[in-house]
Amino acid sequence: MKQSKEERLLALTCALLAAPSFGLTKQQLFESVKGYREGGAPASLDKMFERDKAELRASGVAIETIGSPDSPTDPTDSRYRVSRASFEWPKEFLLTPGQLRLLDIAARAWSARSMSAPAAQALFRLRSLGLIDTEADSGVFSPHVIATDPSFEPLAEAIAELAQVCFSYQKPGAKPSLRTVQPWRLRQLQGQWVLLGLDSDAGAPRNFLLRRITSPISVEDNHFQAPTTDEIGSAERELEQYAAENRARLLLVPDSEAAWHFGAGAGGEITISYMDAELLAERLREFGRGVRVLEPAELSDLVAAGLERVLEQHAQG
Amino acid sequence: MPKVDHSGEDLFNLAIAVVGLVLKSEALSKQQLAAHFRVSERAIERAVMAVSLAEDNRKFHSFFELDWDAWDQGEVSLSARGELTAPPPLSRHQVAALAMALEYLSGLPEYAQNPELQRLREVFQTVPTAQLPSTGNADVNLEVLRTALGQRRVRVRYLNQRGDQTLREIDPLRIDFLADRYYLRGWCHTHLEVRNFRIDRMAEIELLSTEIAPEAIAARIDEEMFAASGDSFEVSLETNDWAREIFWNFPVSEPPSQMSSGRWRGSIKIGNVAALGRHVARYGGAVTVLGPAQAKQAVAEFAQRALAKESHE
Repeated sequence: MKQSKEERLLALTCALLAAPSFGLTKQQLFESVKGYREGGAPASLDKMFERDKAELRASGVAIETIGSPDSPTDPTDSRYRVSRASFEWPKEFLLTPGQLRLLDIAARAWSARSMSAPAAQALFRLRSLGLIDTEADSGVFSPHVIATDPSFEPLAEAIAELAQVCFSYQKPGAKPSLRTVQPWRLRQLQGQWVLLGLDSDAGAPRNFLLRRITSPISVEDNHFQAPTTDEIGSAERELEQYAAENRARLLLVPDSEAAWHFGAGAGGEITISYMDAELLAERLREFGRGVRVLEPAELSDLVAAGLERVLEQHAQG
Repeated sequence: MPKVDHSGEDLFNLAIAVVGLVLKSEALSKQQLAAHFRVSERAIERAVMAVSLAEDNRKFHSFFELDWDAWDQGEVSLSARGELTAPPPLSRHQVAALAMALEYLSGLPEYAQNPELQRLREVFQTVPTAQLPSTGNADVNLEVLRTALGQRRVRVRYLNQRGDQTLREIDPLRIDFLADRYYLRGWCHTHLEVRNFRIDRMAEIELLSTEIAPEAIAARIDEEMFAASGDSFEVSLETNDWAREIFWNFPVSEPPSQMSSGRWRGSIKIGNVAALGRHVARYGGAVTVLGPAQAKQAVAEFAQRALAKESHE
């Protein structure tokens, strides 16, 4: 019986996993896997092999190509193996039912298929670590990670591949500028997706709001070394500090939605910290007359200017 | 979670996961495996068959030997030949997808102090995300609602999006977190259907002694939070690139399509035209209502009232 594609992929994975540490050549793989022996002409076999490699990589089997020392550019001498460097679950670590439940919630929280598929595959593999009772899923709390920005997917991919990216970025009231960035991580801050990465012009880590990216993400061939946890950690702390120093004083109308939302104390005055004035202005406009900005003036101007534009656009003649 | 039969790609992933587990354990039943991986027994059978058929033609042997006697008794027992003992480790993509979602969970008050989550984050070596102060009283309200979920009725003072205060009795069923907001999905005893309530618009939540009603338990919660309700009103909008997000917050009657570079047009459905002002005004000019006139007017009025408050001082 002819081997199906899944059977061929499985046999190829097994052959690669069972391979010695220096890998196997394409020819050896062709001989090992039945599907290739039945495969036909050398040119179509090569194409089939390329497709299989791409498919395995897409489903998380990290195939490494090792060039031959004699002729590093000659693909016929390349050797293949499964990379051990990506991530291995600590040997002594056993998942508890509670942890498995959390991983399950995490994997299911993704609304974007580009993230939910690898997360679900990872769960399959993690479940292979051992048979454990899964806690009954109470299902009463359901987080949703929504990523609708078109730049989310290419950025997530570039982060995983450690590939430098280039995009046009526009801050409010400024012209778009071209940025070259080593993308480190994506996270959601106050409801916004924010990219942290090393800005090559500034030579320092910077934060980019995905909604302000105005061009498609161009992924470059240029790869970089993964940032250390210290580098990421200090950039995160810096952002915290920055936000803590940005303070706004607000006056809230008693019993208005704004007062309910912010939970204002006596006198209706509160002070809050924020990451970005434009984003806060957006939020405040929504409360209409329920909130007034006492300071800073910059914020109060942003709120008012936005409302004036809205009024102008919607006034009817 | 529904049990599904897997496509080819997932069959592959399931097969290597089954191998990993079975090699570590004594024989496991098909039933146990199906429950563990949350798939059907048929999917387990297909995966095991694929594994047992995988062979190394160069060395003339299969990679795994299936114990056929055990198989006939409904058990899966595999032994590996040669050096093959472990499934492939997680790829960077897979790690990233889980780590990002775990990091996201850890930012929610629901999980912030969860020790199991902390341990997982250590294993995945995630770096804590910047903690930005949350604004709003939702954290406080969550505490009460959590104890009531699925159990007891609550009475809340609720501010609807037109700014009217109402007293509602709700059978709380589920809490959803979307973007940066908490929503209670619950059976509303005023409207006798499942409704969504913004948790930051609730005050004075009173836990009643009444158990939640059978019709609430039987009710279906729509996965789509902003599904269109009966009495809806169509509004057509034009937005720039980033403000296109407004379309994800409403039922869409005409998906946004690109007019020219950076300009998008589409239509949404809203329940009440008076509530539109706030949603459009927040974007400060990046969203324009094209029609109908009544909707434009509602937005203009909202902006005018909001501005009046600024200039009076």
